[in-house]
Amino acid sequence: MAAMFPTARIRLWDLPVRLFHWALVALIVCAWWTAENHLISWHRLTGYTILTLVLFRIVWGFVGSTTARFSHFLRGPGAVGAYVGGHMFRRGSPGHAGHNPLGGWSVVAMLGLLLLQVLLGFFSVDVDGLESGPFAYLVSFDTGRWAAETHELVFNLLLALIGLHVLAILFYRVVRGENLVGAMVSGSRRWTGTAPILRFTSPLLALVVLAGAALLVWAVVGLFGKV
Amino acid sequence: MEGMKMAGSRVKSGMRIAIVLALVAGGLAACSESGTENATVTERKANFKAIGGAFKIVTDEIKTGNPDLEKVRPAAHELATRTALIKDYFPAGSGPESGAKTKAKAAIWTNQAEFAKHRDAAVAAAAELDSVAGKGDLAELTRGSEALGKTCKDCHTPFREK
Repeated sequence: MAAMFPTARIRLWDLPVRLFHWALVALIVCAWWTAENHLISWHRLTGYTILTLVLFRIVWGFVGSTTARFSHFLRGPGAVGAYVGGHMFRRGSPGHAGHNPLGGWSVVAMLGLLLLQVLLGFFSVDVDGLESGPFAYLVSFDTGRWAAETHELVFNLLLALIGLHVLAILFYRVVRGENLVGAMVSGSRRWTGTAPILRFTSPLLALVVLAGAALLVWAVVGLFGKV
Repeated sequence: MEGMKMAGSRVKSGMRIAIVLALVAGGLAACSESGTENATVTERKANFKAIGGAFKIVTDEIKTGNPDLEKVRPAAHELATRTALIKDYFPAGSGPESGAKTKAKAAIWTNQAEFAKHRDAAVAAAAELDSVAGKGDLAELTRGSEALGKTCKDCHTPFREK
């Protein structure tokens, strides 16, 4: 039995994906805290950083390691349905080397909401017409207020998605006995059976992509934004 | 055949999504339209909205580093005029107890002296901004705008719901 299904640790998440993930956690907390305490300059800076990371992650989803790629984890409705109706609730059933078919779409939802959130922030105006995002000068006060109110609504949607994410992690822990948090920290997980073939892209390329994303955000905000 | 079937189910799911979105939008609209109509509250909100709009014009111009005085002057004047109107927009009974949708806190009426102090500070700051707006000195304009912005914040923190 043990010989047929050898258990070993396999490398799963590359360093850029893990750093991206935990930096994002810290930055979302930071964005919330700076908004609550009216530290608008810091809030804007947090938004630019989140945008940089999201842009990085999108590009990394095309050129990064196997488990980081959209083509690896975005599956059609059939595969998602089959997963939810079958494997997902069965303890000991084979895991996914990377995002499962349902989790893959939550990655896209998260990136999409974050992108939308930063864009709304760009055009937001506070109630006094005093503080605003870098592109609010392009829109009317009413449009800027709409953006700010929608910015709040989208934050609640993000909270809901994060809540769902944490619940899913608990579910995997309790029902399937899988430690997803540990894997996102160490990058590896226990694996039974034939090890999947995963390719890992050089973290140096990740640095180049990150620098490119940062440069783009800096240029767009610096050249066209007004704060 | 397969392609047609897929196109059909895509249309169907597209319609389903549209229906869900319409329901969500309807629900949001229903939530935001609750509250009874109150003429004073409606006018008060319109006045504050216009203040926000005028202030945005001033702060946007300051941000350019080279403010267009043709835009700043009328906006600053509107700010002074409308800020002076605030005192008439908070009669007794126009708070949350009116049933109208308002972010005005009851504290405005239970702590009138404090509210009046903040309000007068805003009126003075807006008048000052109006007087420097014509001169076109960026530093003076920035100072005036920041001073007025501070009075907005100082009063909104204790007296306006987030």
